[in-house]
Amino acid sequence: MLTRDSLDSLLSCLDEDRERAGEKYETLRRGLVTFFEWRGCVFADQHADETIDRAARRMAQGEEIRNIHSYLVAVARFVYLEVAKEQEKVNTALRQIPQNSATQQPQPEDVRLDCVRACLQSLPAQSCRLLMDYYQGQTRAKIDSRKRMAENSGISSHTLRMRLHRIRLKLEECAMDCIRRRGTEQLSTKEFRGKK
Amino acid sequence: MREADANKQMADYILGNLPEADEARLEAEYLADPRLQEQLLFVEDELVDAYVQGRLSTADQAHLEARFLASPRGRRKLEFLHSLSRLAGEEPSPEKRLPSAKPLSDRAFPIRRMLAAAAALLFVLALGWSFREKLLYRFQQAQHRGPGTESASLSRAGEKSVVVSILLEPTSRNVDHVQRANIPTGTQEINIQVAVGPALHDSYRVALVNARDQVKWSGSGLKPRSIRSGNVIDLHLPASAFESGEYTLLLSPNASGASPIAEYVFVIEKR
Repeated sequence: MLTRDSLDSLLSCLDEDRERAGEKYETLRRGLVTFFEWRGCVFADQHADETIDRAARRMAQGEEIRNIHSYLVAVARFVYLEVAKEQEKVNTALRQIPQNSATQQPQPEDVRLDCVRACLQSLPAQSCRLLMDYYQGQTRAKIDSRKRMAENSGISSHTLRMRLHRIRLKLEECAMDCIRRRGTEQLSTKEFRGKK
Repeated sequence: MREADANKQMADYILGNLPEADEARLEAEYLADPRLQEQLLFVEDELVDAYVQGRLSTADQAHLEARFLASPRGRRKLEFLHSLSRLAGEEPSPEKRLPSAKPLSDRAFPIRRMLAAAAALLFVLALGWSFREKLLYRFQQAQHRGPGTESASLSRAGEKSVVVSILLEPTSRNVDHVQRANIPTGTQEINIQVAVGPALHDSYRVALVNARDQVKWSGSGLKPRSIRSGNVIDLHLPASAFESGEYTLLLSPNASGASPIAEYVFVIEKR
């Protein structure tokens, strides 16, 4: 657990100004979450918090740290090694669970498609058209079409990809919200039916 | 390091192909740098897109599956991109593809609407009256600011004209904060202050692109001006150059062939 003292030690190491320290804390926590996600961890948030807790405790105990970010990376790597060992055990156990178990079921594809379709409609028309054009066609035709889109727009293909990236993020966020809502609705319906 | 090399290095990092020392260096950097995190997320997005399109090598596919795609967020992203590709593949023609666009619905994005309203308040900084002569003078300044500058012409003489000022900050990954500016009927000029941060270049080029990717205006040789919070480039554009919709302003150093170094996305709403 992160105590008030250890959090204070960490924040003061990040910046003298409390507000700026808070922003830097958020940045490093986000970075740690992706650190674990890019290694395939299931509970990336928890591992990021564990990394911060350990580093902050050491600091509160008076350990001298020259570079907080390099130190956090070193701690995160230790945490990951532990997690990887545990995860291997869990994976072995999961492989023995039948594939049709309810907990293993991904979200039905029709729900996902419905949500993505609904969210596409909520985008500005131009963004939606850009996205559809970008994804249409088979692979080779798609690559040519993407080059043409950038050329016709008078922008670099990098800029086009950045623009698409932002639209995709917006759409993805909307679709995930929608899928979560549908999931909750389904769960509520099941619970309701169970009570009847 | 060139941008393409940097992106390649980031892709190698996400795939687990970097030497450990380089990994640790990059990790220490991105824990401290939100912009680097954004760039990494862009590269991550591109990698999963390439995976869905079958453009990755067998080895890279396996690495991505064993690493990022094994995480819950990775799986969700993969499912999302599969769905998107499938929907795009089902669409027969641009005209029939989707129902007509609707604005972001209040029901779907209540927080975004509130943020957008707040952003509009922040970015529509001043609404002032001035006469056509003043407007014409400013517009002529914009036209003659440098070679390669082009723009549309002004409208009716002798009327009072509304001038709307907008301050544009570079767009970040946080797409909820797309800047919006409400342009009242009768507005004749839109003054845009483009925040460029520290003035790393003597002068800049700017291209204004609409959502159909048409270049609506471009200017070169634009000098930054120092203000309290950094540096800005002043653009004075006729409101007639804008329709309601999304615009992207691309900022490049003035050198020939230089790639954009920042982009600013904003939405104009004419009323």
